[in-house]
Amino acid sequence: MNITGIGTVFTRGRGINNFETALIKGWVPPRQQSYSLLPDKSLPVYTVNKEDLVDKKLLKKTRRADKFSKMAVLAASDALTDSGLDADKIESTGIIVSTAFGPHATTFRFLDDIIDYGDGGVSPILFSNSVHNAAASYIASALNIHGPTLTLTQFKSSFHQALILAGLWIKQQRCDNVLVGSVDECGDVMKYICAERLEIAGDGKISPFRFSSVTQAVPGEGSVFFLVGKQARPEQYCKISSVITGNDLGAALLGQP
Amino acid sequence: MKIAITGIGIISAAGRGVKETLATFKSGSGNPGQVSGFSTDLSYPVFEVKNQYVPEHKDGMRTIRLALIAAEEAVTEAGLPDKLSSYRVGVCLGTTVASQLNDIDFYREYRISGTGPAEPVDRYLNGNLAESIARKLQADGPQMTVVNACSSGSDAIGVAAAWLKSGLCDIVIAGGADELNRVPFCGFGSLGILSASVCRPFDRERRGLNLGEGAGILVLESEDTARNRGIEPLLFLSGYGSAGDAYHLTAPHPEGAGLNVAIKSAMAEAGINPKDISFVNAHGTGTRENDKVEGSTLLKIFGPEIKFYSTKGFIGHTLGAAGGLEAAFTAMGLKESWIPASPGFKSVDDQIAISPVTKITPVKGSFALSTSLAFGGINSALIISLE
Repeated sequence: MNITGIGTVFTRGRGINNFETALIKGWVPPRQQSYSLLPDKSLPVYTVNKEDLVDKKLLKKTRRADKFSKMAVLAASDALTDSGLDADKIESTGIIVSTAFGPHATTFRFLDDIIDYGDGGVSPILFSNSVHNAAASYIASALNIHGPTLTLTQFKSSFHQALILAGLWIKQQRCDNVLVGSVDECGDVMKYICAERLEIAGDGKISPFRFSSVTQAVPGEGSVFFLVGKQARPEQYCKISSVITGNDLGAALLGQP
Repeated sequence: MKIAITGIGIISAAGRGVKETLATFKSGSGNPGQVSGFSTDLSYPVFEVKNQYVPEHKDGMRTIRLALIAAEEAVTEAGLPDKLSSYRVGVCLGTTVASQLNDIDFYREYRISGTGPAEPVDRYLNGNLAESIARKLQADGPQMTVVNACSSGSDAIGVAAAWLKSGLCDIVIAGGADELNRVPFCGFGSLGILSASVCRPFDRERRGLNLGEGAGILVLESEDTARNRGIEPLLFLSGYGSAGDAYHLTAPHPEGAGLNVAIKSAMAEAGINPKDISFVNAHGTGTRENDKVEGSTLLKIFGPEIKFYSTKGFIGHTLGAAGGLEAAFTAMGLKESWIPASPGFKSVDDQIAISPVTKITPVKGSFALSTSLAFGGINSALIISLE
């Protein structure tokens, strides 16, 4: 399948051009951010700036969306625009969203409601947005896409599974194009979990080829979407020939590299 | 490629296993009660799985235990108990609750002290549904946890079919599982769609849904794989269709646009026409909007004589498990040549204009349809067949 469009929202902005610029300019340190109530608790995190999530064109369809869904909608919208896909081809487009943790920040806001106001005093809007496939729904309605839509969640290889499925949908003629992407946010509780469970690179520098038994990490958030299709286009980025995943059945997520 | 169903596993408020569930269906009514699994100040009836079937374990979510019970039943029926490692077995399961870190006690403590107990976090990080079931059954093929809200189970079965057709694996354990949980219970309550009495799908006086819990899991494989290992297929998965409404986060498209496309796409894949459908296992939640849209769409496609029913009056709305359970019920209907009454239905709603069956009804024919409508405007359809 061919990648004909890419959209991304990340710590240095929005769009493939900003991403390219960031790669050229090189490393910038993540912001040190506090989490939990304890004053001495902080860690470096690459977060997405709120200003980068403002889009007047898409605002009407996403005004009730949370950060998780907005990141996904903007990246998906940019991938579609970047691909130059004609409006009449959108009809045969599917959506696949992959995520590890889903809109957990909204889930915790919903739990705030339960704790503060009781079971009968909770917000229906928060609940609707806390459902994992809310982002896919916002993408569909904002971009007017009526094709098959699927959200999957996995802690390992979620984007790769999404790509495999996108390829199958195209090959098996379920649709001609698929907006396939990934989104995750790093809310307050997730920062706490990262700090507790990961070896955090205190200076914000990740050393990918350190060949240590303990990999130091810097948590981040963002979204990326590809518009993939069976039709090759002159301006396309590249082709994906094969995606292969493997399992480590003996290992639980924790305690195993 | 013909996709065979070689094993069925089910657990819900209607019972554990096919035999017990059929007995409940024959009785004509479900047995909802007040929530016993967690404390709440809401008093809507729910359909819980009997605790004797799901023993408490400190490590592991109830959803995973429900899924494992159903998966083991399906795998046993498929003749696979000790042979999983000999095949490339994928696991594709739908859920809603098991995808979320929504432990209220953990979060309450975190809010107070800035730290929380480790167990709920460990449970969550080790509790991805498909990964957990694959690990427990030593299934070494692809894994996917589908979180498409109320169509998760149907869509997981659709993904499984795509995997098999592509040769990605030989066998897939597919379906859905969900536990009754306080968070969606409060959430559905806030949306005003929980019924204070037993649900009445498609009835003029319907007042909303009752939540339930359970798991419905199929073993799927190519017909050749099944026959090569000496297993006679029970039934076949002949078609799957999915389409989005692109309309609203929580409400279905008023004209059933996505559902219409999903059903037609599933029938096209099965190579059949509306007249070939023997009966429909409808999503039929008992909410005003779902039933109006679904009933009207069934009428439009199949005409007024179509036989259809909703099992929500037996098991409640089991969210991520619903598609898996209802695919299993559809298969059971075809196999048994009868479908159950729709508990709770009494009078026709003029806005729907057709009625579900009100008593045990004999059915003939080779093809049956199961529909799912979900939050986010997702619509899915599965065609199950005898041949």
